Amino acid sequence: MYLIVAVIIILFIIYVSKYDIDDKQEIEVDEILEDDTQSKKPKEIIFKFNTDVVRFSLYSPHIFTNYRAIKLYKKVVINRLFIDEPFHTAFMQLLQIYDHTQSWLKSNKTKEIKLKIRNKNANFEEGISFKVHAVSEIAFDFLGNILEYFNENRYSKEDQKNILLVALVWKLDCVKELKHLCIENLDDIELREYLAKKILKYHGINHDVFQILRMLEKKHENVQFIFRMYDKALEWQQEYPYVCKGEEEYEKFNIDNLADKGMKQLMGVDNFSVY
Amino acid sequence: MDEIVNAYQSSEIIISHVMLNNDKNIKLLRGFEEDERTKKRYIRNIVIMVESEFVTSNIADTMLFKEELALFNFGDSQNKYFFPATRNINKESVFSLVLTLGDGKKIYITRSEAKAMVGLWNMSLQGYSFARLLEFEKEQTLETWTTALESNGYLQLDKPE
Repeated sequence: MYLIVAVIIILFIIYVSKYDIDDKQEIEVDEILEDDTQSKKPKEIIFKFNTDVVRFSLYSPHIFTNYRAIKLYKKVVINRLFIDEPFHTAFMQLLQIYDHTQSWLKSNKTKEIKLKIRNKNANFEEGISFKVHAVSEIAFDFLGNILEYFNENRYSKEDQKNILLVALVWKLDCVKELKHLCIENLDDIELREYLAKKILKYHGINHDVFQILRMLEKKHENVQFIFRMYDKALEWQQEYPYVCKGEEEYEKFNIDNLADKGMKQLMGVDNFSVY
Repeated sequence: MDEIVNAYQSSEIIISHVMLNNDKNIKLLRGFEEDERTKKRYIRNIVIMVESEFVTSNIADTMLFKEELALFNFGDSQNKYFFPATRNINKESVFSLVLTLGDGKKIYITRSEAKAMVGLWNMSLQGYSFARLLEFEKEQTLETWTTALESNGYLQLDKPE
């Protein structure tokens, strides 16, 4: 009898407990469902980045013809942000001169051979053949070397700008398109000073640039690295065969036609990102 | 011999030289053009170079140069390159031919040297085709010569010769 009562009680308890669990589960599921339906959408948080292209007043890359000139312009003016005047315009003008020039320098490792041949009409043609370097390529390599030197050694911004200008002015006597400007018989040093005063016209006469140029002429020990960088640029320079047929005529280069401040435009860095 | 070689197909000219005289630095420059299909070499031009100067200017001149050497004893003032000269060496009058370079330097050539040079000339041109020789003469310019000299290393300063 007791057994039967106990079994019944146990069954009842199990039944009740089961019922309870089911009830609870249903409630939970309902709650969850209700929660899902009623849950609010999370707030969309929008961060506003400034995605506008940063624009500087720069010279157009279309002024150059040589891609290396554009590359150097980007390296110096945009990457280092040397966009202040009068450096910007002076640097641009000097780069433009080297970009335009077709003059050459005779290689150190060349032999000269005097040619004398007969052409179609059996007339004599004479010339001297040897190997040359392009002045523009030397100048671009030279500038690249100096920039690398600045990466390794600390120089103030002002010094970097002045040295870059001086290095370019120092090699202007190789540009034969500018020879017509020297009316009197000037030696190389005088010619450089004369050209420097003409091209760096926005710099005052007492500017540091002219002082560094004089230091370079006297081979001051603080600017010895410029000579080293130049020799390094010459060492692995490309050589081209060339025939010299007596005196050659060069296109006269007019300094007044160089890019000036008025030609600057607001431009993004994208315009120079081709390379 | 009569195979047609396009003049502009293989514009690269291979230059090689024969030293006709080592002491006086007289070279016979031969410009070759190679047909890539048949691997045949055609002579395009022959020029005499003394030190670093072209003395003759085309095939006709070069032939004249050689003939003046060959007729050593019969040369006179009508010659174009070599003029007869008598010199006194060790109180002995010697007969030789003299060649004057552009910068005024004089090169004397003895009888035996002349004979040796003519012999070398004959050896150096054996076995080559002369079919294209007279055509290049019309095409040659200072620029073609310069590119050919450069690509064959004649403008290099340290080229072992």
